[in-house]
Amino acid sequence: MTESFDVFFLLYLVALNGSQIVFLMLSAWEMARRRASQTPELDASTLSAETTPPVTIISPAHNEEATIVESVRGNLRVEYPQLQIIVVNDDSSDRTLELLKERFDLRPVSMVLHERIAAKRIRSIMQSRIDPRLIVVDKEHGGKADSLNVGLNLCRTPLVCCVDSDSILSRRGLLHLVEVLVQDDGNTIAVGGTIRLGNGCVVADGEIKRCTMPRNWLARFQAVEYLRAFLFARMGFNRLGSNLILSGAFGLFVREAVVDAGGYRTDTVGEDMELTVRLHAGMRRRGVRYRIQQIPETVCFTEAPESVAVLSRQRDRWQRGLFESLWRHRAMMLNPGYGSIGMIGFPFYVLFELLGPVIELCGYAWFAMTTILGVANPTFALLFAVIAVVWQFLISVETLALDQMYTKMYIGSKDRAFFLLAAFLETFGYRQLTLLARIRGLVRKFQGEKGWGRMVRKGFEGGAA
Amino acid sequence: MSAISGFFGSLWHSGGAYRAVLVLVAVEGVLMALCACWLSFTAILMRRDRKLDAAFARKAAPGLLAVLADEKALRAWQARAGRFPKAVLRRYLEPRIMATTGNLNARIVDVYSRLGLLAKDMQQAESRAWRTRMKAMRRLVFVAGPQQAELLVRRSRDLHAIGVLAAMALGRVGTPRQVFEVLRHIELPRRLMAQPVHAMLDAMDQERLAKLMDLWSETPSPTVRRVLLEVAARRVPWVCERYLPLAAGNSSVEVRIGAARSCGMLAGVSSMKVALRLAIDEVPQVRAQAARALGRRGGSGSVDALAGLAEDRDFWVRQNAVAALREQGDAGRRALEELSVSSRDDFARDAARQELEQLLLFTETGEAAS
Repeated sequence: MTESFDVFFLLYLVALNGSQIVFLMLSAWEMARRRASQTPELDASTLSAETTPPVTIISPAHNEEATIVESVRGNLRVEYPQLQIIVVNDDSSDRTLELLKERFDLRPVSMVLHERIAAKRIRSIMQSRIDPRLIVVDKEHGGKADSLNVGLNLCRTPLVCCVDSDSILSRRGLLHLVEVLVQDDGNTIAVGGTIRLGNGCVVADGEIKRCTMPRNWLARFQAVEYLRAFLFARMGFNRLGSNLILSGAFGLFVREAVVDAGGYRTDTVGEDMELTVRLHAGMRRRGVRYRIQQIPETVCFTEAPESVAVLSRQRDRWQRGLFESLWRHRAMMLNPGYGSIGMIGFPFYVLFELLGPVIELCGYAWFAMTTILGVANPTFALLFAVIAVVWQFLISVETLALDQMYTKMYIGSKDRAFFLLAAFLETFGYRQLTLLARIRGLVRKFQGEKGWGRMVRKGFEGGAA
Repeated sequence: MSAISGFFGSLWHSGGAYRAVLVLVAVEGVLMALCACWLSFTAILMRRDRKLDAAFARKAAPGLLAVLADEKALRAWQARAGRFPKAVLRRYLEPRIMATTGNLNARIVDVYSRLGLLAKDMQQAESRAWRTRMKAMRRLVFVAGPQQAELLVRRSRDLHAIGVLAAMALGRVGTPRQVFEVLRHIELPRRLMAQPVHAMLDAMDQERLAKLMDLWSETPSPTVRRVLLEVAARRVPWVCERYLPLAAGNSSVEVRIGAARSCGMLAGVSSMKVALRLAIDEVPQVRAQAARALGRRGGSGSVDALAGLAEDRDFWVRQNAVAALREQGDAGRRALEELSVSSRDDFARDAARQELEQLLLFTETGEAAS
């Protein structure tokens, strides 16, 4: 009996780490492919061309007074020839709208709404007199997905870029995403890039001036997590064509594909993943050739929570969003009709992302129980600990190596040292903390919880709100 | 060592299931070690490259710009540079080629060629490995000359990304017939894919573009014909005017859209007639583009036509028409005011009001600024 449980937990851990190693290899392959096929030589031509497809950046904002001004400034500074920015204020109770009015000299205008997706009522539409590319919409509260739908109804460009208001875009991030679309012959309908933490970065005039590892330990652990998630998990999935999520913080979409799919669903807290899965499902069902791609270039910096309470709420919400997306599209699970999505991507997310916290918690409970009862196998326990700690650490180290080869985000020995230290220490406390938040998310999902939970923004270093 | 073997030995003898898991752990360990070896190996290579680059920058690179005009000094520089691997020379010269234009660019490209790098690129462009071909083509975009045009034509039928690069380079150095050979095989199932074709045609000089237009009607893809027409309207308008009536009467919607867009870039009377004809086309996309074109051209004839289009049954036609009216000065403003008050079409009234507000907003801004 003891042996069976021991072996089950170890097998799960081995499977998890094994899949991570496979993804690491796939990611290295994918990144080498991307490095060969990216064309910085054509940047200038794309930037100067009148025919480069216009893009609308849609930025939903709800109580974002700490970051909104820097974020909008950053969006306006993006290097792209034909750009419009729509900020959708989702009934903020703080000074988000006032700050936008003050800093960008907003004046009311009316715009004809082509309402192809149902959304909450718009109170007013304003345009900046400083930069006419900026439109601000004030609307009744309906959540982030509803705000994005309003933006989709208002925008008139073939491409839309959905960006969080607590994010700063890199200057050429949008250009790199668009280049993937225009130089592709595989009907790419959506592209995502690597998101990095803005904590520790110095922002001036909406631009990242300098980036180091965050000073806050909670943010440092998240920096390790983000790097692992984007640089090898998502790039690995990209190789298999089974990326189930494009981050809500920054994603470029062909507008018609999103509108045809019905826009963002407002009854989920994981609207980014839900939309990506729905786009996959719709395209596969219709038998249309398509691609949803992820590129390794850093396209955007986002602010990570630096307090335990906010981090817990965020992870709680992510887990609920994950559950909702997977449950809603459960017909895809192990369904060969959906190709690699149904046979690899979906099962992976169910087994390791959705059920992972539950199995891990059971593992802790089992270990505690066998120790108390004196039936624990110490050799086994030691092996388990080595695999859990050392394997995970080595994977983080190899991710850092990938980063150093391709994107070179953390340069300098101090940053690297802090990265490695955080990668080692995350197993002792941080992992358990996020585990509990994710478990709580699942429990609250079954209790019928639908809210987002309050997020507190600190603002970017050097940024003036 | 004996402690480790004792550790694994005790687990190995604990039961069959433990044994199986141990094997898996060992396999995983090997895979991870392989990853680490590969990453270390790559890191060592990168470090070596960085050192070589630094050495080149220190010993050979200084003075290139100074010696470009002096043949003897240039040869001496070449001799110094030739001691370094070709990859180092490439990494040094590439950004300089990309960052320069005109005579200076031609001289650096000449140095690139003298060092044997161009020949190597041509060789690599025929490689069986797509990554090698792709990398070579990325360089050829900037360094290829007319002598490489045939190679570029061949490569334009390679993988899409390589084909895009080859086409871009060919636009710069190819003959009209060679460019046509590429255009003949291009399919553009999506509008978004048209941008590289635009870029390729934009790279052609006026003379070659005008000659290419002689082959316009032989281009099989309607989308490519549309793009060609638009580029010609911008770059060689006198040639484009000749093809407009033909394009406006074409059965393909894409070609008619191209004709409508082109009208907005031309100034002749005949193109105005074509624009007015396309404003009553049966396809809304064509009318929407005609509205834009009329807006760009301006004039009283345009304002009347745009006021009519503002009441069109299609959303985008109305939007383009009212936006175009906003650009027409007083006449456009009067037309918008009339539409906002007396139009029987609710949508047209709303759209006109919206444009009037925008007009007011930016008139105020202009006044404030002055």
